Amino acid sequence: MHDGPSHPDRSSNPGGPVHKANSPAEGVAGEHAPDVSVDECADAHTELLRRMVENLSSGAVFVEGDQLYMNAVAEEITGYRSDELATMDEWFCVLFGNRHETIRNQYESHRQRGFDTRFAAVIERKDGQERRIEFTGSRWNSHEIWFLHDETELAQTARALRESELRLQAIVDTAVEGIITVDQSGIVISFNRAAAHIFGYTPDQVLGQNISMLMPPPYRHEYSNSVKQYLRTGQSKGIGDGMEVIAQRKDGTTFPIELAISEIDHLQIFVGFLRDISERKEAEAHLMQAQRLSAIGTLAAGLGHDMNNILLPVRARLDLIDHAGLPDAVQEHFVEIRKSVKYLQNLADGLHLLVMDSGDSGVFDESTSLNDWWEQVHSLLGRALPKRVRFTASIPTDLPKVRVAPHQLTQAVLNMLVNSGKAVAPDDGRVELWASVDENNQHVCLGVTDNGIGMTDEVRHRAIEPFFTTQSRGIGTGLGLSLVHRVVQAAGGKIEIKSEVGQGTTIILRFPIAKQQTRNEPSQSTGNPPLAVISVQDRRLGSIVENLLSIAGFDAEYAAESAGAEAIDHAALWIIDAKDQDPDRVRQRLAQGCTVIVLGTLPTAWGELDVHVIENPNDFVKLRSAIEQVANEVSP
Amino acid sequence: MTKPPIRVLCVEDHAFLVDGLRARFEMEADISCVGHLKSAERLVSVAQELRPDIVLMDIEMPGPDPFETVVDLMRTLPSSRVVFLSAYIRDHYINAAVDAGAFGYLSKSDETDEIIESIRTVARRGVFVLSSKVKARCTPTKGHKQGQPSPLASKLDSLTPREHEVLRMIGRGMKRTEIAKTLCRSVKTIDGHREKIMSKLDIHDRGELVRFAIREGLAEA
Repeated sequence: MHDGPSHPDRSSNPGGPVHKANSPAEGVAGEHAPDVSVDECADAHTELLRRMVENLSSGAVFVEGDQLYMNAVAEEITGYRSDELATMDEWFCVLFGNRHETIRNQYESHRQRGFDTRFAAVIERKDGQERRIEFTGSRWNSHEIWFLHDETELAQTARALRESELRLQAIVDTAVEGIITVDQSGIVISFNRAAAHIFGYTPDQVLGQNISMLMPPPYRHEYSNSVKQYLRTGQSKGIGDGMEVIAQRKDGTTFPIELAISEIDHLQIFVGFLRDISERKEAEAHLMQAQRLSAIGTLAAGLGHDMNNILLPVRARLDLIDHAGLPDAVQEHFVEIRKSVKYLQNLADGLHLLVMDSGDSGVFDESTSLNDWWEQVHSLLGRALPKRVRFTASIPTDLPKVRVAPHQLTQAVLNMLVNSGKAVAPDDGRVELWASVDENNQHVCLGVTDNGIGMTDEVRHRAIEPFFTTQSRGIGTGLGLSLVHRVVQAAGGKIEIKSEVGQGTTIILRFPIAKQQTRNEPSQSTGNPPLAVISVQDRRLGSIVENLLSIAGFDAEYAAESAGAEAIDHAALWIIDAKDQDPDRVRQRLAQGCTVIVLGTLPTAWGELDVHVIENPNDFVKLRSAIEQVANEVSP
Repeated sequence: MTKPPIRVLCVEDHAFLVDGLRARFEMEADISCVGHLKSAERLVSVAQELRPDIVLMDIEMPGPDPFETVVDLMRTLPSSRVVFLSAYIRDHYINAAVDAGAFGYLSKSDETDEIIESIRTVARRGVFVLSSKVKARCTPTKGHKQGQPSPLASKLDSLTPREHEVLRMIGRGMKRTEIAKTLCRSVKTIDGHREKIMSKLDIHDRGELVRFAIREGLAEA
């Protein structure tokens, strides 16, 4: 633009005043542009304004006199084409309906004030939708330009944004995972409820603080370095990936968390999603432990099985050699070989006991003679202790049987010995396995005493918790005393731990004395087990019953009714099949207090008899179960 | 008049074990080993040919289910009496052996004299025998409700012989395709067996099924 008298530069000042023909500038202009009329100049300005409006990215209406022109955005806002709303009347009447006069008055009022204010009104679009539009007017020489802002959209967007924020906040607050937002300096910007629960802090105790307060020392530096590296290079371990790290609670305790950090694009704000994985880690450790024990068990089973497959033919051939007769010079060696093989056989039997499920108390869950058991397993269990540890076992020969399965006893004592072996000094360790009957004559106490490091009160109290361990590795680690406790509990007994730090530990298992003791063996009171006589035609079935009764502690005898008449008279239990039996004889024995079991269907002719009937004796499981039930009732 | 020797047919996959037993039987004038099979596959046909008095039979062997085979043998050749000789002393094996019609259950850890005597007892007297070690382990199940079999025995006994066989193969770590091939059945059939086994044993996870089979000693070492 020129300050002095000069011709108007249309190209550089398109918005400048449109000069009248008689204005002082006219001559000047006329000197340089004698061929351009004022009307032409005005037309040029109008055209220029139209183009400008056309290219605006916001809605605009160009008004010239009574005519108006809408740009593409305004057409989109109103839904009409420019030529459909070409006049002011059309514009007001069509867009504002019966409110058009009110709106027109508003418009005139603004127009008179020079369009320095803005007003808003609701229009009805061509498709019938209503839109709230803010009008901002501007005068341009003789033209007006209105700028249209669709407030409906803005309002909707703003509302949607607010709702979205609320939803997001609700999600963040109700998320199970802890969500923490920090800036590039590590200052906590947000801290959701789950995070508060996980760490034990309230949000106000953390907001504005450095994130490092949630980490134990070594991890603080690691995190800080990670962020620095990321800000410098755009790459860093842990950002963008999930990782497991150790976190610290308000009370100072540490725990494992799974953490995933991501950056909010370009804002250099980091969001950490985290969850407490303490329980998962513990479960994983338990699973690994269980799998390890299971693998050991499977290995032991395989080993025991293979040893038996080898030892049986070895023993068979030793019999042959012995039978053939050996020179005196080698006889001594032969005896030693026999001893070694017996030792191996005990080891194989012990491995079988070891591998059985310790929790399975239902299969072989009755009485065990500690002497017989020890004879079988001492070779195996002695191996549980380090070589230089002095191990003694004193199990009196006259102990009553205890109510625990041998495999469970083996596993329990193995764990106790392993623990003792770890607790004692390698050079001066002493471990003793001992047994005795308690003062009330109700329990047999089986104890393991060592001179090891002993336990603190805390360790002693927690010792029987599953997976509690003071060791990092080894057979039975963590399940040791828990398993022992389970075995004793299942047997109806108790475990007692006496320990003093630096002095050693004694663990005593109190097992109830087996009831079967009184009838399974010649007892001091009665002298003999009760007699059971089997009078069954089917020899195989009869002998199966005979075996079952023998297992149940009876002196079982097979007798045909005539040959065994005398035995039947003395039997506490008489097992018969209904065939060929005299019902009067049965009644007589019942009257004498004998218990009678009938295998098969009871003949109707026999009438009412107080006998036990096993209708399908060929079903072994049912037969066995029924025999045991009756045997329990008959036993003294 | 001297009785003819007891004819024993051994069914055992470990040849050295049978060789040892055969040699031991030679010490006995009244016992003779007349044959050896490494699996129960040809048992019925070979037994029909050899007419053994006693079939001394292992349980954990490759090939068909031994209990199922014994049922077939009892049907076709009831004069032969089966005595199981196993490294495992397990309730469900003993139950299956008795139900199949066997006349005895012995342990491979038994004294050789007891094994010999048991063979003699079964053959001469026709009675059922359990060796002393088996009896010692096989004590009454007092821990259970009276009149009911143990939960484990009950569960395992609910399996058919074929399902039992499939379970053992699963325990050995065999893949379903391998099991199908061994049993000459389709993979779909094996899948069906497996589903039924899991349902009967109340097991809901295949890994758990394998662990169960191993734990119960169903897996052959």
